[in-house]
Amino acid sequence: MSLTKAYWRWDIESDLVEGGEFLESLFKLNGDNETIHFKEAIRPQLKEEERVLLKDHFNEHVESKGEIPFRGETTHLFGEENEPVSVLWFGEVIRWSKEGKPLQMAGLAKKKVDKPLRKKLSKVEAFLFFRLMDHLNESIFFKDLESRFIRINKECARKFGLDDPSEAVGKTDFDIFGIEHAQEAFEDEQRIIATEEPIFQKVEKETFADDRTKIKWASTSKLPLYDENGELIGTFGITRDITHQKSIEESLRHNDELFTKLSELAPGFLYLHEVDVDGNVSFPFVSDGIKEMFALPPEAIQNSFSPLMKKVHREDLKRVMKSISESVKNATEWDCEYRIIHPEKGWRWVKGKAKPEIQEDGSLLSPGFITDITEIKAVSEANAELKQQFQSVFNTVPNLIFVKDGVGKYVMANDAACKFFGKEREELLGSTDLDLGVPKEKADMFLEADAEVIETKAPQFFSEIKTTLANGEDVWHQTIKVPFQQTGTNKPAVLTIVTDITERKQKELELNETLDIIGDQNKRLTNFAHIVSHNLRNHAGNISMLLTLYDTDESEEEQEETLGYLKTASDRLNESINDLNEIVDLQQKTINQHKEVNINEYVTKTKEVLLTEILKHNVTFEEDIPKGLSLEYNPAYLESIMLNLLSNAIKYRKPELNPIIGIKAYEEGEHTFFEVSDNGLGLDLEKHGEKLFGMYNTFHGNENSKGIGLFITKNQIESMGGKISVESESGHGTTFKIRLK
Amino acid sequence: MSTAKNICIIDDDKVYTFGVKKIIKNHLPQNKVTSYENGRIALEGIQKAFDENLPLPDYILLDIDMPELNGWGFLKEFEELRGKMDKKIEIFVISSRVENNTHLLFKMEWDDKVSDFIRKPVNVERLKEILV
Repeated sequence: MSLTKAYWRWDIESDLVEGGEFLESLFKLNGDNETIHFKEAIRPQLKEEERVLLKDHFNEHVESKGEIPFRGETTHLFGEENEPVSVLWFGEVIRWSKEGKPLQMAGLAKKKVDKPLRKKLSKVEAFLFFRLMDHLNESIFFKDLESRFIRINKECARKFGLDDPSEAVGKTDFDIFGIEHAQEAFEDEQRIIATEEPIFQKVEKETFADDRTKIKWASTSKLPLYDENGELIGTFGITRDITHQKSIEESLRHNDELFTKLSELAPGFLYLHEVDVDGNVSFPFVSDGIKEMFALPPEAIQNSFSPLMKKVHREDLKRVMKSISESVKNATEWDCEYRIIHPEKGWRWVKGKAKPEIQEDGSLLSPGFITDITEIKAVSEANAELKQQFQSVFNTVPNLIFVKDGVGKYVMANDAACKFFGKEREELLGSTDLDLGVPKEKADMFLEADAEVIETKAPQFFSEIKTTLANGEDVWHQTIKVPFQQTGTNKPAVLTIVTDITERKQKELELNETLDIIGDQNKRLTNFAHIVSHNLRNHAGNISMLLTLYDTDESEEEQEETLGYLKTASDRLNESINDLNEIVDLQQKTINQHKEVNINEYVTKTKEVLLTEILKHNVTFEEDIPKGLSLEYNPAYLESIMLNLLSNAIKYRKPELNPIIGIKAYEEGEHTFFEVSDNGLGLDLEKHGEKLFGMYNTFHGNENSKGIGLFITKNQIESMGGKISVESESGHGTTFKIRLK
Repeated sequence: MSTAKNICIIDDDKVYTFGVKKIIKNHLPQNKVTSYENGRIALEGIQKAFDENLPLPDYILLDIDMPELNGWGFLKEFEELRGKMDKKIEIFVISSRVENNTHLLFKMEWDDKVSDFIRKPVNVERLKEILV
């Protein structure tokens, strides 16, 4: 018993086996036999399970092209004493066909030192085997040569819908499964029986006889079944339900397809970026979109993103690199907008986004995408610009523009509106008119108008709203209210646009005043025209009458006298014509003939003109005129006005009193005032007030009063935009108050 | 020729007054003429004559536009005095105010108080017509 090992060689095509003495004695082969066939001489001597295992190992070895070494173990009854021995088999294919089929195998068979326990433990083994079989999640079945079930395990019975495994005995797959699967399984088994070749892990689609809609996926291995004597008695196998895996696989495949399709549709391209623990960069996945966006094939960036970076705008490159390295370093989201050059399209704006995830092995996987945002960018830039422009218009217009919600709270206001209320925007927003100090009556009116705008959805227009400011100044506003939708909410609101029309209104009022004055002047002029025409007619009539009388006068003295009256009449006619000239002149003189005039100077000048009268009547002046007080005025008018007023004050003195004349000038607001008061006769304003400034009205029976002075004075003052008023009482002096400008 | 009449001129126009006086002196020499510068002085004068029983005017030639008290004012104020007198006094308003369109208006308002409205300037013939 010195032989414990033997080298062997097996020519697979011819099935011839050569081996050493150990092998011969192991299989009780006659050494004289020239040829030993594996199938005839050796295989029948192998125990079924050992043979299956050996075949498995062989298949593994062949499929791996020899990488997985062939090894096996067999047990034998050895020698005269039929001593049980275990033999270990080592070997490899030593010759392959061109097609990769094994042609020849060689190896070593070696006696295992340890004795196998198989025989002693076979009962225990059987127990364990059945335990295992009935508690496996896999279906195990044994079939006879006609593919009838001999034995199945509990799991298999459960799968077949049987209460007990024994119920399956004698049944075939045709009783259990749909015909397609049963037929296929039957054919597989018959082939195994014919060839004694097992089938491993065949994926099968199982349909069922009782429920045609039920489909299960299974992975089945089937092998030939031998009895103790190595007699082929059927098949056995194990089936694992892989329906779940299959569906996962199915959905994975589906997802994969979907993903590929979507990535084709997605603007720009999708990618998977990997940085391994050693810092090597690769792109395991790049969608085809890269071709269009970067004019690069997906393969170009398999192991490096430098082809991508070469396309980045120089000004953006640093920023892009930095953002990527930060994202990789911190495993934070990458989000970057930058420019790239495209060979046909030129510069494009793109946006990249990726979400890195640290993998278990420490590598970093970033799924990401890059998309072209050139158009979006252009639109958003245009929008931003538009918004900017709108904002600046909104805030530069002098109009008050604001939005109030349904309960009258300000929700939006431009600079002008804030300025009007003297509030910061933050203060203004959220306030109501009442909060802002708008009088209740007015606030209610606005609120009511807003409610109506919201209700009728129709704009409201207020052509004129007068507001008196805190400083007493009046302002006028024109207001338009239109329905407005608050951004972000569906709540109705009212947009109000307010235009300050104060200036226009003031002009209008001034114009009205001017119109009044002009109307007045017109009236007076008409009146004047009448009076003049009467006067002229009177004088002409008188002259004509006197001439007739002159003709009939008999004495020279009489003629002399008539001639004297004729001269008077002629003088009066002249005077009337002069008056007429003066008034026409007054109307024609334009306001433009202005000059800086000093009031003090003009008072002095006027007094010089009236010097004779002043001395004659012993007039005293009480003056109160600021030295530097001057204004833009028509000098001829000022002279005329002063002359008229001062000479009137002297003219209508009380005969018994020395005249005292007060002259006062002062500024008040924008206006310059000039006052002349006297201690003279005064006049009854109730009686004469209206006629005071008319033409040819005299009230004192004074020789010198022609009655045209105040008429002209009033006209002069009013044509300069001023006003004259009088305070007087018969016998108590007169005060003329003039607003020069 | 009727008896001598008292003619009163109320007018602030001295030239006119002179002319009318002269015409009356030349053409109706038997008549006596008084003149006042305005309504106020005239009222005072006539009142004085009435008070002192002096001759009162038969005719008054009244101007409208005058200082102090004009023609209309005189007419109103004279009413009272006129009522006290048992003498018929004819008043003629002689003024450049009298024109075609105002003549009728004046007449309507003053018909019972004023004999006629005559437009200035007045000529000799028209004066004779009135005063005879």
